[in-house]
Amino acid sequence: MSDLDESQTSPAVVLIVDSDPHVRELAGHFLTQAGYKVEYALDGYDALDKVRKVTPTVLLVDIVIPRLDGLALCRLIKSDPLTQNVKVVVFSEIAGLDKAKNAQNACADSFLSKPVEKTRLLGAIAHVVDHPVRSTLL
Amino acid sequence: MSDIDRISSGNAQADNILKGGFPANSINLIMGQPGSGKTVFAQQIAFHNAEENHHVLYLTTLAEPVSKVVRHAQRFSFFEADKIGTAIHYQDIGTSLAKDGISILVPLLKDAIKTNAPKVIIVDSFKVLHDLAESAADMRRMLFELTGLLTAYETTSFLLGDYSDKDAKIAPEFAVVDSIVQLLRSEQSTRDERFLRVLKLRDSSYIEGLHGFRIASKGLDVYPRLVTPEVTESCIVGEELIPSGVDGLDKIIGGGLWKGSMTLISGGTGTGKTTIALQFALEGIVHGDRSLYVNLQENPAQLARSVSNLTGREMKDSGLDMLYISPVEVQIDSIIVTLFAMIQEKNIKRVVIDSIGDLAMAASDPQRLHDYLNALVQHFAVKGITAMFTLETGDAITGASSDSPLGRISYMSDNIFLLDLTQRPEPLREIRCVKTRGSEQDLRVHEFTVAKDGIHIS
Repeated sequence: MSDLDESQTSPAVVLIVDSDPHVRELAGHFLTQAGYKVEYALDGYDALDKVRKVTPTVLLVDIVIPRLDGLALCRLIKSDPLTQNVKVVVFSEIAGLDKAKNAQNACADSFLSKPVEKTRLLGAIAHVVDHPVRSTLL
Repeated sequence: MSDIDRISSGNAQADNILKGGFPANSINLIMGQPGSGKTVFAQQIAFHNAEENHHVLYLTTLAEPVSKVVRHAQRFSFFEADKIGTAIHYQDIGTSLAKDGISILVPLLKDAIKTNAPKVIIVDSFKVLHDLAESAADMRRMLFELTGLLTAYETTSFLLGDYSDKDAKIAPEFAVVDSIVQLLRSEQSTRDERFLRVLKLRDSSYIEGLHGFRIASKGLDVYPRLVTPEVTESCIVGEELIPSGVDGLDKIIGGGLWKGSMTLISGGTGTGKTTIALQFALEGIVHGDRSLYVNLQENPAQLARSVSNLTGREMKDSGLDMLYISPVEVQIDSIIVTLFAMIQEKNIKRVVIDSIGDLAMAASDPQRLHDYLNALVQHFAVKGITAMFTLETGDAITGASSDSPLGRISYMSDNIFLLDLTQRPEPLREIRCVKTRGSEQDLRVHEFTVAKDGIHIS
């Protein structure tokens, strides 16, 4: 598990976008426990709105979410100069490298496979927070 | 089917049946009547998988108090006291369930996940939740929530319960779980037999049917059902004739036994079956092969005397691998597993089973015995092992009892010899070959004698 860099003055903000309440609660719990500030969104447009208002450090987003899917959301965020620095971690059940590549093509910074697992989750978030380089498959 | 991650059951043979173990991140159901071994199996899984960073959560409901479950586990060698409270977290949620109803299960489980992040979760017993549910709808709602939670979080869960076959058709959990393993207990005349059966395993193949097991000090000791191997052309009975070791017998069947073949020696008591079988086994040793003599009949001391007479050496110096099994006490499944383990370990080339009639005593199910014998013979052929079975009766071979499993042994046999002891007017031993495959056959009746150095056929 990687916690936040102690040199940071304010905690990194992770916006979790997932329609599954169990995923939101468990991922949110583990991230909060690790020192992150956590925000939630239930669908793609709700997430887009919150990204523009809150400017989270990391967007943890499922592919299959209502109204605007996770990959489309990812493209919109990365194409907007105001939000393009938000790190995007695509968090999905969909196994296989093809989807991971799609996530990368959609400008995601990392792909994390579901289900929620504390160590992998914290590792993935810490990685994109600490490393500016994109394209990590976890 | 794609490769999937697995978690071990803690028993290598059970893992073989499951083609590698339970699928990781799955929901599994272990069903069986009271006393069938569910909790032992679950504890075996728990202790095997529990590690410092791989925690196990064991929830007891209203079936047994947690103290009793832990105390019971200490009887087994898999129990490691150091893991209690560090890698295995027992939690009794029976009181909460009784007070607040089944809807409390998911919040309790979620709290436990947040606290311990368990990689394995066991609910013992899950079935009793039906008794606490106010309605079927209540149970379904809780199950939906539970399935959602256990799917969202990376864990492998096991739900235990003394479900009946009828329950399996109507209880909603049977539809949502990824695997179902049933433990059965069958009462025989003087002993019980236990069986493990996989009823469902999503995204994976498995070995179907009933697999014998017993509860031993190490936990469940499982004996996978022997299935017929896939026979390729290269595995068809060999092209090499090997000597039987019995003076005069090879001439009757065209020069010897085909390597990888099975020969049945049938006859009444005292006709010389064991002597022929011993000579066959010892002949292998003369030619540098290892021979295994599976003895289900003879007193081991008597057999050692016979070996000494035939070889002029003590049993321990004869080079013969001996496996003595009391057919009264052991399940046929365990005999087969032990037999195969020895064959593999010692690279055995000749096998004697003396006698298959005694093996039949260990089989409660005649069809099961037949399937075992058939698969056994096929495995021997594929492995190039030449086998000899003895059978103490003549009737089974004459066709009169061809419906019986032992009667049907005739079609599995490549060679069949009948031994007889007649009085005309002097006592006389006779042998005749009633079947041979792929060789010239001498159909005549031959007299033979039994001397200290073995059988001599004229």
